[in-house]
Amino acid sequence: MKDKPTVLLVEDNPVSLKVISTMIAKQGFQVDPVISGEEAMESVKQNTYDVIFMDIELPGMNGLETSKRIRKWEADQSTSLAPGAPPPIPLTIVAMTAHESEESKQACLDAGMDAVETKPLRPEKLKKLIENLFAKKPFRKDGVSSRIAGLLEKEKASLDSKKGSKSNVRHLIVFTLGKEKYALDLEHLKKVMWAENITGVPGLPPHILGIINIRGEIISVVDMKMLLGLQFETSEKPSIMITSAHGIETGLLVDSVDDIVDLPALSIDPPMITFEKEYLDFIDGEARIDETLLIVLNYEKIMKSEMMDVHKK
Amino acid sequence: MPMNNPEKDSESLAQTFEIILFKIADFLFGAPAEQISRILNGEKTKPEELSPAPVDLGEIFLLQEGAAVDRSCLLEVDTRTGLQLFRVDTAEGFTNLNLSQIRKLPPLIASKKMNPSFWGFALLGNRIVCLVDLDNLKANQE
Repeated sequence: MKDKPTVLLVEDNPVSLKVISTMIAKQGFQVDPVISGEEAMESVKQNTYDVIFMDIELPGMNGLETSKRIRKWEADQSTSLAPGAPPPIPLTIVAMTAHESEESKQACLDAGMDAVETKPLRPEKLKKLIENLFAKKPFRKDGVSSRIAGLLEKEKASLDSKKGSKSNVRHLIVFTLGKEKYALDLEHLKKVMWAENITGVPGLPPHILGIINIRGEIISVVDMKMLLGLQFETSEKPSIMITSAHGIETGLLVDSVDDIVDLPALSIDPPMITFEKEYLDFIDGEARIDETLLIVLNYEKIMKSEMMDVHKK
Repeated sequence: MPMNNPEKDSESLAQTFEIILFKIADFLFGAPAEQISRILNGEKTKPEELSPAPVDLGEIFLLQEGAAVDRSCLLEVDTRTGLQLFRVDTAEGFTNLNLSQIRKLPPLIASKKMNPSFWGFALLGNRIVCLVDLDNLKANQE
């Protein structure tokens, strides 16, 4: 028997799958990642899960249809129980959607989902969501609920004690540029996707690659290596981090998105690596994780810099 | 305080605009079709027939370097200052756009360094078309 509550994560974007998996695992859950509704259906039939985090826009069978089928399968299972047997606890299905409209949320609930969470799913949001979900519903495995409840209490107490000293810990998304590891505050990250279909626009400076169309929104894409003056070749399959601050979304091209880490602010030292003066302002400092050097960037300063030229027209 | 009029909004969204699509280098551009009076094959047109002298749009958009310097297509455009001939690589045809397909320039792109004739983008399936104001081109040159 598994000693951790288990989550089925259904997400077709492999990079988002990795990022969200890491985030959920850090909450003390075991994660089974799958990339399609069909795979999710098979997993549900073969395993026992406490929660399903379901992306809505999936290729083939979408999240709504998959949820309907899971509910139908559960109903079929219940009807085949022995007389007097207690009914199984229904799976908790949480929709992960980029759409915030009431119609979209209602469609998820109508499909049998229990909760709707808008993307991006951040660690704080995830913790709160789990608290809410399991305050209403017992875990499917004996003994687990009390352990998690204890952990959540501990986490809540820890967060409460940190109120007023918000800058003690920085939640960072770690990414690779060439041979180096960089990080920026997770609060600015909205989504991660493969770098595809970037449309060039004439007359752009070299560090602005062009634009992408994300569900009808046009977003500018910045080549982080060019922006930081790094002379590395671009990886074969780079990623774009869709970031946001003050309502402005920007795509950042990086070689790969690797991890989410929590770093005590005190562990970030002033930068020792030599950077050109024009880039120094972009860097908050550096930290070591195991033996790896991590350069922590200041997203706000980057976005306000002359190189980004935002809000000038 | 302005009141929303859903009927009027949906009418506006349903309104279509015809644009001409043309290519310079690998870039796809769009401009109002109503301004196009003729499309000429630059190779088959005698230089003396070309009046006023054609303007290379690639040069205006700073696409001369590394571009496929074909420019064999000429667009005769009815601008505010009269008829103007513009050299482009190819005319890709006409298409209708509705408002829901048009986006304004996003931050970073909408900077003062950008050519002032670029005013938006059109979403055509997987393609993004850069919309240009052909009336602004001449002013941009001056």
